[in-house]
Amino acid sequence: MDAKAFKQLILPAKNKLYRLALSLLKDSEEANDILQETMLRLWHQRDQWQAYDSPQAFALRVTRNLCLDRLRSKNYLNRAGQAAMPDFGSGDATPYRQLELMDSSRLMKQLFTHLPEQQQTIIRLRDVEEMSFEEIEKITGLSINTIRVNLSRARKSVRENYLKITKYELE
Amino acid sequence: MNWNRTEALLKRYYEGFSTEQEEQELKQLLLRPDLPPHLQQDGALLKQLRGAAMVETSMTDKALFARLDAELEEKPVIKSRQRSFRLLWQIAAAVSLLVLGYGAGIISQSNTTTENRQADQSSVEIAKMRQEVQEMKQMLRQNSPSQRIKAVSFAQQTGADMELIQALIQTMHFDENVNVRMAAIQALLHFQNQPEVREALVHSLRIQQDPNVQLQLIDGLVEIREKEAVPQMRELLKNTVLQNTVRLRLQESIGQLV
Repeated sequence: MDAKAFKQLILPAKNKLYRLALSLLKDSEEANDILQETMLRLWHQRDQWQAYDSPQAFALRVTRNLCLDRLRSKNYLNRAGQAAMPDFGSGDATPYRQLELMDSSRLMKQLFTHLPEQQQTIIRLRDVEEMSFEEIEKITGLSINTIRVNLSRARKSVRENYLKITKYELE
Repeated sequence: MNWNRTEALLKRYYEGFSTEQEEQELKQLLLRPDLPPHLQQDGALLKQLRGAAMVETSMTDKALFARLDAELEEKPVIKSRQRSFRLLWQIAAAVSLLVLGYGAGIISQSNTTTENRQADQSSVEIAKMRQEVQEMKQMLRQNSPSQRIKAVSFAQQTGADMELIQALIQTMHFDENVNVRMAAIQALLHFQNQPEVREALVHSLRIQQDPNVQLQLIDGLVEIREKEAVPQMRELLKNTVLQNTVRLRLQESIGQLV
């Protein structure tokens, strides 16, 4: 596979990879940086990647692993500066739409904030990205049963949190 | 309308038992305008979750592949550099072996057998050291970033072997992993007395795109008081996409160095 074919294959997954990285790193610049690194890693592993049933799941797995490595690195924990706000698209969105996305993103952050990383990744992959259990199994390396248990816990916890937030906003 | 089906699906959804088809059906049902009040919050929550898929990166496709493109362009250069370094080292090794052989010959003619043994021992040590260097270079090429970081920290504990330093420089410039690149910078700072190392640290400012790596390079250059870095730092300040923290650190560092 040449570089051009590789890029064409991976481009449709760009935003999915970005959302996963953003949800883990909470910083759009870091998420974009991980995306660039993911591209490089995928290119180096293109033989493995092509043999994979779902190239998208493989790309998400690489992205997640890179994010977790970065989160664990000492330099990341000690890094200077504040986490930047996520960005909201290429500027095609109207200011109203951007505001809406910003509110929605803030709410999502509140909803997921207390979830352990594993539950957060699973609920995102299932309920935001609408991926199958088989794909989530490939991305996380967990069994389908474990995924279902974690998904159930995550959904219940997010619901409880959502009810609290909306109740607070209504009062 | 009877909402029993929706309630049952919702229960399965929260238990993590629902299938993809059931979840699609549930989402459709929750979108209905006549949704009863006791299901409205679940409907709003599921809509909210799905809506999060609207967030997109602002990075252009070109930027997305910038690092890959840079590597694809640079690879032949690296290879040819590595080849020329390898050739240089082969020549150097051949010359030193010749000198050693000649020296050993003279020693064997004029000196005692004890001294002969010492010369043999030192050539064995040299060979051992060369082997260690080769092993470390091999480790730097491994797939796992943690192995490469380990290799980098081993490398910094050895003496200033030029071949190893060159391998570290290559790692600092081009390793795909940010943490490995940062470890290589740290290791190279131990060899700050080598002009090649100082030059390479300055040069890497032009290559590195990651803010963490840029910050570590800048701090390292200030630590070794490398005034030659100032023009390159000024050049970097012209970069419009530079992260603000990096910009501030650059300005502060230029002030400290000039």
